[in-house]
Amino acid sequence: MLRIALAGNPNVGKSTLFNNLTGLNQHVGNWPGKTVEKKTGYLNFRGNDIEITDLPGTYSLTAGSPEEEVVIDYLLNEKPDLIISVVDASNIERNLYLTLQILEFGLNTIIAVNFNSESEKRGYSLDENKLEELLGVPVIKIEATEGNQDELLEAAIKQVKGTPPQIRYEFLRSDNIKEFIKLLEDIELDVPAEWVLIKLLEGDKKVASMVGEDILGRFEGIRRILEEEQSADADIMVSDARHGLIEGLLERSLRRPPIDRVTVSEIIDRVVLNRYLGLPILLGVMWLIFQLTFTAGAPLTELIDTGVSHLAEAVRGALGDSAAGSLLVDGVIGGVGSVLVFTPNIFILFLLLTFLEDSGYLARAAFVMDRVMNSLASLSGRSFIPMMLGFGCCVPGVMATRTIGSERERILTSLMIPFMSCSARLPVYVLFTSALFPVIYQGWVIFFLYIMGIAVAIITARLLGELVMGEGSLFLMELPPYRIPRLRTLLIHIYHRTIQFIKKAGTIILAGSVFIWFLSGFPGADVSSSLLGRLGSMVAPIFHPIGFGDWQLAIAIISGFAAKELVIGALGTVYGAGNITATIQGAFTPLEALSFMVFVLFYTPCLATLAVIKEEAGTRWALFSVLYSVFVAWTASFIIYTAGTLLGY
Amino acid sequence: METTLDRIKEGKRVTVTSVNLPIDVRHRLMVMGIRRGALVTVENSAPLRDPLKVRVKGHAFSIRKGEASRIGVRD
Repeated sequence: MLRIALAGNPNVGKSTLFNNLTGLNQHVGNWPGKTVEKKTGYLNFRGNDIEITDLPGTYSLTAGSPEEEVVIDYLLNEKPDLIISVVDASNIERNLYLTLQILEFGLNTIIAVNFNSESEKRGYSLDENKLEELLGVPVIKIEATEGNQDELLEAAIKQVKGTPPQIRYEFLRSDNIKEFIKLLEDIELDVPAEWVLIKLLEGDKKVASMVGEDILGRFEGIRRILEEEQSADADIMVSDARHGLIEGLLERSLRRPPIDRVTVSEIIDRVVLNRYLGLPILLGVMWLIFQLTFTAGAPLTELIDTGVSHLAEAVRGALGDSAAGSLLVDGVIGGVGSVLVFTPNIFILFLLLTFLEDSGYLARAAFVMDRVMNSLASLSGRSFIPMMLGFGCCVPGVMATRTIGSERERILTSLMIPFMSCSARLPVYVLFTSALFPVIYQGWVIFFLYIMGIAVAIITARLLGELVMGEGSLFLMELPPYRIPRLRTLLIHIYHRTIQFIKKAGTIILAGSVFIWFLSGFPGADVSSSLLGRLGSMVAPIFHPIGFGDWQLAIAIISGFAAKELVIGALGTVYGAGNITATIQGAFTPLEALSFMVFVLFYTPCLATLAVIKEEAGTRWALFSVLYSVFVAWTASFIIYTAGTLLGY
Repeated sequence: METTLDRIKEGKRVTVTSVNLPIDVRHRLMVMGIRRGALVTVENSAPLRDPLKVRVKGHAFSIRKGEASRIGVRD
């Protein structure tokens, strides 16, 4: 099997090419130990079995971000048979910077130039044969959106048998350097000695630790001589050498327009980023996402809901009141059903989000909101849309954090999102406020809960950001030209995301709901004597200081762990039939209700959310999220309840 | 006239004269094409005035005013 890796800058159409090459024959997961997406696909081309790995998009190969580490580790350890370096014709200068860094690894490489017609429209014309001749690497023009990529695959298979070119920068030619390179060759690092030297000059700490003290001492001497000769810092010297080489290559292979024309993208940006229009346009787009996701998805969601309950009825009818029937109906069907009802929303949301991302607007939204997010929470504008989605449902919100380039921001945002009051918490708020608060205060109480959630989310990001995750990253985010996304690419992407969601969330929720079913049904049929009832009585004292020490409420809270919608359902079950509003009025004072609502707002993300947090931020952060949010919930409720009691409410 | 990138008016093109930032930040900027001698156009600023959208060699990206204030330019 031939192993081919796709490498390139973000926004060069790498994923589009990957999807067109492999179609649905893909495996999407995470890189080991990282929260960076790993995509592998398979195809057969003229009798050759090919495995294609889509490497994360990066601008450079100096271990700075998790994405860059993934690419470097992959190239160092896996050594693919061939790398396809995908470059954007309209942006070729910066793209070739990464290509040169790839070539420095000394692996077989070909260059695929994408967006040719777009760049020709702007007046650029690239002579790919000339570039190929100058660089010694096959250069193929492609349109990634096209299904037929035979020319590229042919070139790839041919090059696998060829020899990789060597990049010879000017500064590598001095005698001092040649001597040092010999030294490096002697320690046999399994990578080109030139590459090691370049990395050392760039100040790469990982490579420095690879070569040992002895060599490092020698290197320091060489570096000083070089820096004196060139009167520049070593890292700048390397960068200048790359830029210089690229300029030389393009001078002879690229024809540029005499003056850069004003592009359509620039004109759109003058409107979309306008001082007065920028924010209203963003709000409009947000409103549309919400409407389409949660409103247009509703009929489908209902359909699935009805289907699931019909199925449950049928199974109950067939198996009767047996334990097996109950397990199937309440545990399995109930659990899987609660995942399936999310899927229409997830599907529509990802269709919209991927459309926005591929069209280029998502980057503009982040650009517009950056100042707010940065000054409030030391995050960047990229966290804004995922956080807003959290008000609808935390699951798609957390899943949307994948569009955030930086790992730090992705993790912090996934931990903030559960504090946004999702739509499943609203019924709890409405039920309790309408039962216990005068009409004129009801709106204020709910508003207070939403604001409190946002405030805690911001405090969380600031605390964790400063104490644990270190300083915020730069906001060097590309604002790519606007492009019309291809339906095929969108659908393949969304198909994989939806399936991934069903699998991951499905397994966790299934396990969780079967577990809760077991707790509530054994050993006795009566709730109070079941394990769940006993568990409720056991943990109830914890809730005593915050105003609701009844075991029934403890049960409602435990059930809400599976899904927050279940809080009300569980209250109905444990208090028995009857008017639930009247029951609540009998059991709570307004202060106790407020404390209870605050607790429901904060305590632990539901299982589905946890499943996706685990996916985006890792298991440790998912566990942290549970413990931290329970702590926050209890503390916040305690403060409110104690203060309220002292004030005489 | 010598000034810094954050003070440049929208639509203006300037030449970078110095980048006074830590090495890792400097590296990221170099990758995006911001280095001594590079021509940078400030195309837009965000509705809340920060960050800026700049263009270097045909590609556009965002940069916060904090970093921009450490980049010396000449117009």
